[in-house]
Amino acid sequence: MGFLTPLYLLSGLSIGALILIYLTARSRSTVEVSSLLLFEEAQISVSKARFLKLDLLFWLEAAALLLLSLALAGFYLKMAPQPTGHRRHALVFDLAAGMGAREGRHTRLDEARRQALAMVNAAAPGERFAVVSYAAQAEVERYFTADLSSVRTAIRELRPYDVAAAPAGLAAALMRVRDADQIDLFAPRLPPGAGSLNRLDSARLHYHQIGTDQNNVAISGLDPGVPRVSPGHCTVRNMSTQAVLAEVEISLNGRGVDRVSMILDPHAQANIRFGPLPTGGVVQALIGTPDALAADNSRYAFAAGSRSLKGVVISPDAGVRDDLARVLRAVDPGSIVVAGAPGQLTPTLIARSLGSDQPDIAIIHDSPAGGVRAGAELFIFPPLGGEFPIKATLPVSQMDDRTDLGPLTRPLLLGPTRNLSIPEWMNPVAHGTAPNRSGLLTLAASGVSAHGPQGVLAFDVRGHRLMDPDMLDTLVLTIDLVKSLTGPHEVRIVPTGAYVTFPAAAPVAIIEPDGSTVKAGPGYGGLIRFRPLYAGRYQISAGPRRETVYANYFDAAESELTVKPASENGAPLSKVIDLDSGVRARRIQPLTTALAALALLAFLFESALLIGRALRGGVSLV
Amino acid sequence: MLGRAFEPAFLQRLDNLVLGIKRARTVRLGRRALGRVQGSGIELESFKDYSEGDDLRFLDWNSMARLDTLYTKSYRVERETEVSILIDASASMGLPVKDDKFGLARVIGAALAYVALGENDPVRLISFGGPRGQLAYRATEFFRRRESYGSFRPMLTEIRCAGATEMPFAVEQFLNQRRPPGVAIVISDFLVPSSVYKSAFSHLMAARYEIKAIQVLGSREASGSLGPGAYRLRDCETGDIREVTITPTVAEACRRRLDNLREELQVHCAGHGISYAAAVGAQNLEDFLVRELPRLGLVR
Repeated sequence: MGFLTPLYLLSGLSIGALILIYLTARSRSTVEVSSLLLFEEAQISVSKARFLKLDLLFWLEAAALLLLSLALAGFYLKMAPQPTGHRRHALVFDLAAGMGAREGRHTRLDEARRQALAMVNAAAPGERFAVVSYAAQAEVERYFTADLSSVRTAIRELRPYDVAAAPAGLAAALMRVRDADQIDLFAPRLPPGAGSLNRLDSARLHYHQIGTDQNNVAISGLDPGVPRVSPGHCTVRNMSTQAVLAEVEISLNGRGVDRVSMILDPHAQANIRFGPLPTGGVVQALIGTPDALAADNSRYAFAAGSRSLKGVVISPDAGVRDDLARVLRAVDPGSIVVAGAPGQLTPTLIARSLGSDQPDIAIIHDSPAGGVRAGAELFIFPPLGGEFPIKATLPVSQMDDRTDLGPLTRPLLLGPTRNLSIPEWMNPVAHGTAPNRSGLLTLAASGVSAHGPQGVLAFDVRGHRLMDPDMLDTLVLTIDLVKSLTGPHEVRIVPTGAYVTFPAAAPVAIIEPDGSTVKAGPGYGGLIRFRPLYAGRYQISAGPRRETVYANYFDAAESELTVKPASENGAPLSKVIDLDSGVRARRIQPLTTALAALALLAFLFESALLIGRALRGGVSLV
Repeated sequence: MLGRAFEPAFLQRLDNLVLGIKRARTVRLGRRALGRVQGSGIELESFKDYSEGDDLRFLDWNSMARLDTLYTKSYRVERETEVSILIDASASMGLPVKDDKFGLARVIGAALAYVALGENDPVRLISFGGPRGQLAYRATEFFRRRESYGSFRPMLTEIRCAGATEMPFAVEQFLNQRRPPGVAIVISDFLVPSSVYKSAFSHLMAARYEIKAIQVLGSREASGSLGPGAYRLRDCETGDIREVTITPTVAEACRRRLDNLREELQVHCAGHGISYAAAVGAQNLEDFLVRELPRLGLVR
């Protein structure tokens, strides 16, 4: 039920006018008579006062006006779909990392495939199937088709991704098949926030919970440390309800550095210390013992080499300059830093101070770039009219989560913050919120432009905020950004599902971890943007240029392979998607003609009554 | 309209009328005199031969001396019939305004008083009804001579129609004065439940009053004053409200209802020896007094 043009409901005000006229007419003048005995045969009851009178003409007019108003507003009903003769059956698969978990000789996806293929094999003649998958986003593998062989092929070609399932992905998948007569959802769990399907189980949607409890050990973090300076750390988590044996091997550029065996208690976490590493390079932590999920058994990190980092810090605030110089020294203890106020540092002065024509990084706080060019640039609290369009400056904001690490343990209150328009080639790194402002605020972002790697921190760091022990997350964020910006351009470490951009003038070939090759062409701004969905190494070849992207996967919820009942998954799914809003599920049936006809009928009936009265009592009664 | 009751030309037409009072055939000793019986009157009525036992006080000595025959003189008995004219002054008498029923009732009452005074009967006017908080019963003293006719004028001028028709109350007040029974002329529209006037009449009859009922109605009484349309009608006496849509059918029903009410009153009067007359509209006043009332025997 709804209205196509709700504005026309204003015509319903005419009913108010009718009521006014009716009440005015009802307020008939009082005439005193010598006795009501004379009017006893008028067959009308006597009362002191009456507020409601059944006046057929009034109700007819009111009904006619109401019907006309509804007709003008385009009143419609959602009707049951007209039978098409072909049943539409949608098969929705969760392709998040959890579906790749092995259970004996098969994976969970194999079990889902088996169940789905059984449905396809038992299909009624003419039944149409759709195959839709989701993980971070939804994808239609086959739209409704009666070609069962292509449906089987689509099911067999499904592969799980090394990413976590997102509620938005499930919502999008269900939206794509909302006009199905039956929806079968295969998933080990619903994404956080998707919730219970109990209420919908009885309707068109059938949830098939796939999988059994499995043991899993994951590498949740890897810090390579500083070569020859500080040791590295590898964090291993037991995601099982049982104690498990884990053997972890640390390698640097493919050569083993350390190997540790340990027994982890249920849901326990252990830190493995290694190094310091002798040189920089790509560090990999690998769990050698087999478990159900392989995607989170490997993790990559990049250890910067022994080169001295050359940095420039520009800020109008001496305290900020000092803090940022300390950050650079923390990233590389052998770094050389030149700091100054805006306008103080000229390219010549910088080159003379650093002994290099171009610094590795320029950190520019609340100042214009001023012609300073560096291998990478980090803008902190960029000024108005600078590199980034600024929508507003907020007096206070709050950092809630980081895209690579997830939600912070506790929200972090920040000071003045720029509400920035982040360019398309940048990826958000940290999000937050601000008072009296809806939606997420991008607090940190990084990416590679045609000028090289660039990052931005939207919040101000004056007042030694970076050194405040209570705001450690801002310091960690800044260090991580500096590390990612100053890392080697040809090697990047990203989480799976994150977008990777790099400049390219021509199409490039991307070799995925399984050895397959895909082609990608440059898009807006001469940038290639792709999304690694599998953990491992991606090699990008753009002519003579080679880049390597290492994708790490870990998601605490997805790696938890304990199967919980659907009812424990939180909020109802109906909050994620309203299946009844489908176009085909509910056919919209406008009632304009019927309403207009009814209104006309009411008017005709009223006219007949009036004519009858006129014939009986004269025109004066009408 | 009341002014007409005191116009000489109007009164001159009433000079020849006599109130039609039903005389009693016999007179019982100790009771009031009604009828033409031999008695100690002063007006000679007839002569008859002397019979043994006749009262010698009535012997015509002059005739015996001249004719040497004994004749007995008979005289018209001294009689005095009190005439009380009760005028309804309730609110309903004021409606419809254009009909001026109350004016008509006062003129009729005055005219009958004038006629009754012609017989030297004691006559008084009584009004009942009136504004709330004021006396619902008001009476003049008895007047016996036409020269006193003008004495009714102040009362007739002052009374106003208002309030409910308190006919039983008025009759009760009237009878409490314990006057010898006479003639009670009730002038009203009688637009009350029949039980009201029946109760009043029964009390008067029990007190041996001769009752004459004159129903005064307006020519627009029924639905004549209300054209076709929707109205909220308010009873001027009870305050009850009725919403009515007057159509020709309804108007006809109302007229029929009025006829029924009149007929009910007429039947009741006929059945109880009560003289009844109906005056509809002021325009026929003289015809009503000079022709209608004599025809009905209320006056002669």
